[in-house]
Amino acid sequence: MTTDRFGMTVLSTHECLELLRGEQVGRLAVAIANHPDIFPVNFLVDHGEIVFRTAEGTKLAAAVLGAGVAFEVDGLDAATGDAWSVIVKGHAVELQRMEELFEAAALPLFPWHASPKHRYVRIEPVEITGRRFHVVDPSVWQDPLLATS
Amino acid sequence: MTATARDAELFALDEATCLTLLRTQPVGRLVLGGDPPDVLPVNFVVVDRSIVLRTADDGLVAARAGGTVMFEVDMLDDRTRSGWSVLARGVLDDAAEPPAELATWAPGAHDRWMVVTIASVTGRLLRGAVDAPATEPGGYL
Repeated sequence: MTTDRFGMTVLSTHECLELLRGEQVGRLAVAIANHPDIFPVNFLVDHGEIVFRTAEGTKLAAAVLGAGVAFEVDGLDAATGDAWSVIVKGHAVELQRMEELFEAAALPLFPWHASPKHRYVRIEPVEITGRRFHVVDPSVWQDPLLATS
Repeated sequence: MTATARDAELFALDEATCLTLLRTQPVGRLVLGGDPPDVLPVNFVVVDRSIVLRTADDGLVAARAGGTVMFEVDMLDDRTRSGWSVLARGVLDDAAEPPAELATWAPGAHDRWMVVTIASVTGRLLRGAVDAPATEPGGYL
């Protein structure tokens, strides 16, 4: 087991993909003219890559295609008190080849919102990183509404 | 009893609601521009119109003082496909002095206190669709 310089456990690519498969929603970070932006999207892992759907002509579609993106999921395992995060960096590519589209259409990937989302995008990963650590201080479990009032 | 089918609905949230929701979460995601951009989950608290966070002195976040960043929180439920997200844009800067109490979950030193002064905030609430009961087996959406 490897730890980074902060003492967090470094997750293997395999562990990262397992965690990604356990989630339905992630966050896609993009930068348009160096202006950072981020969108929650529902997604699937297919052949080790993130796949999601988007509508034509949207800000998201314009922002992601061809550009470098970062995709993030995180979670807190209430049973173990472990927090984790996985980040996939890569390039967003629209599926265009007919066989790719047919394959993607067979994936159980349904948008949460009913507006038409005809385009499939996958993220070609350049780097997949993940960290896990135990949340030690129990005071962090307090209700943030009370803590800041 | 079967729930009546309905489409998902998307609502825009006003600023006051966004700021209230922002305060309900212990973890948000800080997005730093670049190609590719960086996104980091962080603990935070909201003080007035500022997002307060702690980071490592020599880390990625500290190096971006003075830059425009995006900050995201959400709460999304897989089962009902409902939830909300709030996005706050602002400038990241060093805090003059620790402006709030903030315990961080992650190990390691977090001696650098920073604030994102919120310039604009938007939010969306999604009320999930309820599917119609299948009328025939094998039918697809």
